[in-house]
Amino acid sequence: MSTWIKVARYQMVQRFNYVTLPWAALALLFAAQWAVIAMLGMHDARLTGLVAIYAVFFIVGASTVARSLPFGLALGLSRRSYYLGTVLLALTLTAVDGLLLAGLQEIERATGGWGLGMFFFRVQYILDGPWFLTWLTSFVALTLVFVYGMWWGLVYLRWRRMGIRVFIVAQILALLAVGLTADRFAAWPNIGRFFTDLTATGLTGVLAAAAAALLVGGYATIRRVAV
Amino acid sequence: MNTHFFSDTSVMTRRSLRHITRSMDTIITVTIMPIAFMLLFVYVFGGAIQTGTDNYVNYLLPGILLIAIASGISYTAYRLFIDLQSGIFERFHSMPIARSSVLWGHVLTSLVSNAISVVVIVLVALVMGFRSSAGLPAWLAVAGILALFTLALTWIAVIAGLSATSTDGAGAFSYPLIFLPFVSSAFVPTATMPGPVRAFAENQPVTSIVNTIRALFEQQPVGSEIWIALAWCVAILVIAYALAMRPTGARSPERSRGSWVATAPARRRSCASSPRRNSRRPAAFRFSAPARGERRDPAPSRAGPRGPGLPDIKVRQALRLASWFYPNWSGELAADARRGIELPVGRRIGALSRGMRTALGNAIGLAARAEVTLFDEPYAGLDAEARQSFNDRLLADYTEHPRTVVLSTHLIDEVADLLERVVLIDHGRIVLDAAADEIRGSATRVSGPTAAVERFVAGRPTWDRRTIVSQTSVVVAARLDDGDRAGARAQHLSLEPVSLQQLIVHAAGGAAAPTADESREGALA
Repeated sequence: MSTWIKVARYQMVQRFNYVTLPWAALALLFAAQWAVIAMLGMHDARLTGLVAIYAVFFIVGASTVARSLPFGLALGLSRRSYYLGTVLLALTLTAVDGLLLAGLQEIERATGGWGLGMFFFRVQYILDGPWFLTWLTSFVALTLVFVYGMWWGLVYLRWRRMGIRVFIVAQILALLAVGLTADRFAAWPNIGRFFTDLTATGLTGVLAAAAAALLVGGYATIRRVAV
Repeated sequence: MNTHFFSDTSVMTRRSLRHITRSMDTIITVTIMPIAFMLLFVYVFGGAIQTGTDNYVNYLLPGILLIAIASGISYTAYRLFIDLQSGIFERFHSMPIARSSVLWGHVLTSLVSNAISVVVIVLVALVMGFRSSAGLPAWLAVAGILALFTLALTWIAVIAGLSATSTDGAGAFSYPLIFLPFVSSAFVPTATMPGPVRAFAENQPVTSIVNTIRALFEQQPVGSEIWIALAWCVAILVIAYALAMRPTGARSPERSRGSWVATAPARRRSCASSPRRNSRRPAAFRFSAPARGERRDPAPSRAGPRGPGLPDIKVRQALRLASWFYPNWSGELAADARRGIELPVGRRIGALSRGMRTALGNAIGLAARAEVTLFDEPYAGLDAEARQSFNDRLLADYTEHPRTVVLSTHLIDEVADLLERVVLIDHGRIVLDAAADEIRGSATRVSGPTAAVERFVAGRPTWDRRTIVSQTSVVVAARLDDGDRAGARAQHLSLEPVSLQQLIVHAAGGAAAPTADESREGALA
């Protein structure tokens, strides 16, 4: 356990990437969108700036984690403790960030959309419930994109360019296989019903399952990384 | 010089084509994405898209071909960038050949390789149900338009290849080109699109080209679309050609500097070590050779001075965080080592020179005081003073805190005085494993008048015999006792100990092949 914390501390040496960058991107987009709405006098505008924090988490997962691995191994870490320590850090960060997002959402509600009827931290259906559900969904979704990004980085570290190409094609083929299977068994209506019946909490559950699957995939990859 | 243009271009084209035949994977990766799109759209979304025709493959194919070409040309940029970076581009320019032939070689190769991808995709489409009633003239017209489109885009790729600073940058310009077809009539009729998107879709080159090809395939009148399509292709071609030809000459000197900076990290050593958690068990610290794959695939090393492989941290931070992981960490030793080699503590480790990176690794390896420390090439890039200072520090700390230190190096004389035990590995095979003291006295060079030397060495194993006029020098591969030495002195023969390096060279394959050193390792145990 203490090794995991050391790994988390090691990662936090680059705290600019983990803490400053996501919030700076979010703040920038928020300010820009707030200014635009204020100028145009729009009302009930639904905005997409929230996606910035997810994008940054994906990029940080893909770049920073992979880049820190070789040096981490030089410090006598095992791949296992490196991975688990990094995941521990990610879970902590996303839990805290989820809490902040939930708080900001409450403020948005209380101030009537920052005084402009703006929907920035509230997203229809998925992020529109009580604060604890917002926290849970943000926590799970941020973890998901981070772990997904990390997997990209690890694939690059292990198999370089060719690996990334194969990884992309494999993902397209996997989607295609799902699509064809659904087509073959005429399952589209059922799939559609599954998703329309799904509550936001249910969707969070699906995302959590996906995140868990990606965690396993990343773990299987890091065991094969050579530096 | 123009008289040579055609022959030079044909040589350049053949060279570049050979690259393609040697790596067919480029064609495969180029064709696989458009084919995946085609499968996805035809079998998954096809049912939901209303195009007004029953055969969606027929509708889709022209757009897919354009996507294939748009992604195929990124390899031209990539190859050109590699040429520039490896310096072969300038080497060509230094030869008496037509300057533009170097670029034309790449462009014609792009035409050929894209033609191959297009044929492959058309064959796949035929399997999927693509049918055309077009005759030979229509097919030729399609081929002509596609060739013109390829040519136009390839010259854009040439600009990208010439001006990129990284391989990723060289390839990235094609992404918008690949996605242009998605906002065009390639997948769905533009009439179904919302206002602004539709306006864009109807006035961008891909739509007119797609519509023309589609009309040709279906034996429909092409109307004015073909002229719009041709105008687009020619306009792009002329502008891109003019831009691409402009910088080639003037850029060279600057380029060579750029490429030096960019290739330097290829020789970067990354730090790595076996995983160890506590000091009870043997811990290791080593400096690995360039990451696997780097040598065969040049791409990852091109990422610039702060490429992947090293985190974005400073020397000061690297030393501090290393201290968390080694229970026996000596802060003093780290500070001392850092001062001795004047490591710039505020610099990012990714921006360190090779020697500084080695020095940082050595400082961490020393300060770690792990029970087993493995230094892999601890002298790479270090100057004489830094090498000496490392040796002194290592010996001093070893005396105070005895532990196992493995030095893996090609520079044997540098470590000769430190070694207690020598293990010589040649091509993965241990050819020598002995205590250093035992080896040191095991051979002696005897020199003097030929007759006296021959008398002295008679009956003893010898190697490396050198005779100049009446003087002979030979190595006696046997221990000499005091009697032998006294006898030699009486005959005025000179005796010199053979250095560890020479002994090792001999052991590794004899004096005949003194440079056959693949991996030499010495151990201080």
